[in-house]
Amino acid sequence: MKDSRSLDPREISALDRIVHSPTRLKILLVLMSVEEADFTFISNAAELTRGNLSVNLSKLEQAGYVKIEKKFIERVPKTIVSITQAGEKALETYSSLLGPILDALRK
Amino acid sequence: MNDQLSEQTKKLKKRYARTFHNDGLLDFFIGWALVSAGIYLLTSSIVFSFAGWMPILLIAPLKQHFVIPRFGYAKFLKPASIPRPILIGAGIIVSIGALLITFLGENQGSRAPLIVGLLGLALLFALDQGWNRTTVYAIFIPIFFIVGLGFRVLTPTIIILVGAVLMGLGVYLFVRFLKKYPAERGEGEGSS
Repeated sequence: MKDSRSLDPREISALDRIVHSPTRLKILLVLMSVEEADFTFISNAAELTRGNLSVNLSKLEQAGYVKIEKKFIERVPKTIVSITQAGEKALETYSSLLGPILDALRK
Repeated sequence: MNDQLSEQTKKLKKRYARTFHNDGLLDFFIGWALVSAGIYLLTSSIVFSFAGWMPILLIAPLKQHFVIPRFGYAKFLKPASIPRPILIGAGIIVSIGALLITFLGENQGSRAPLIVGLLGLALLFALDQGWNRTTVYAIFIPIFFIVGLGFRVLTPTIIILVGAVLMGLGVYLFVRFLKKYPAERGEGEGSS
């Protein structure tokens, strides 16, 4: 293996495990690019089955990273999801932590 | 937000917005408006002066009925400013149109296929590059009329033909959209 001395394993431990899951990362990225979206949109955009999406949205909601609420859109009841400030912050932190790790691995 | 993340979310937003509007409704109704305009010029029937724009009012209900249940609902963040490539592209198209009028303007009639062909190519190029079709049409339609009038070749038949092509494109995109996003049976509750 090439020199990876600059990589501190503690940085990897610092990665948020909620965000680190590829499924939840996809969901957060989708929600980061819209103001709010319903279940169907996220399912299509993130290419996730409804069951998988449901489970992972629950985890994100428990972590306070997304807000799930019932809303009427054009008189139709919908489950609307939006990313919270904590979610945005978590994604930014994850991105800024992961960047140097990947850079170190490439060296 | 760090730059890379910001750039990625911008790209995603653009992609989702494009897919959301890739249902062919806009294309169909712009085509319909052109066909109606052409028929109106041919027949002077007042019905077609209204028939052209009235169905545009159907876009929102149709979107509500066909698109949102399939692709889902999303509220997009405030629209981004027009990207530089679109502005440059629009400038090139306008320049080509102006040059055509200047140098070929005296030869009327026989140049019609050339004009429509060039504009069609420009339109296809723009769509291929993933430009927002609303922007493309906003550029394309005025140029179509300006160049056509400049050449005095904008006959009702050409308008109807171009409109029919756009309607055909709209139907194609609409069918493709319905196939790609089949109707959902439920709304997917239980997410909370």
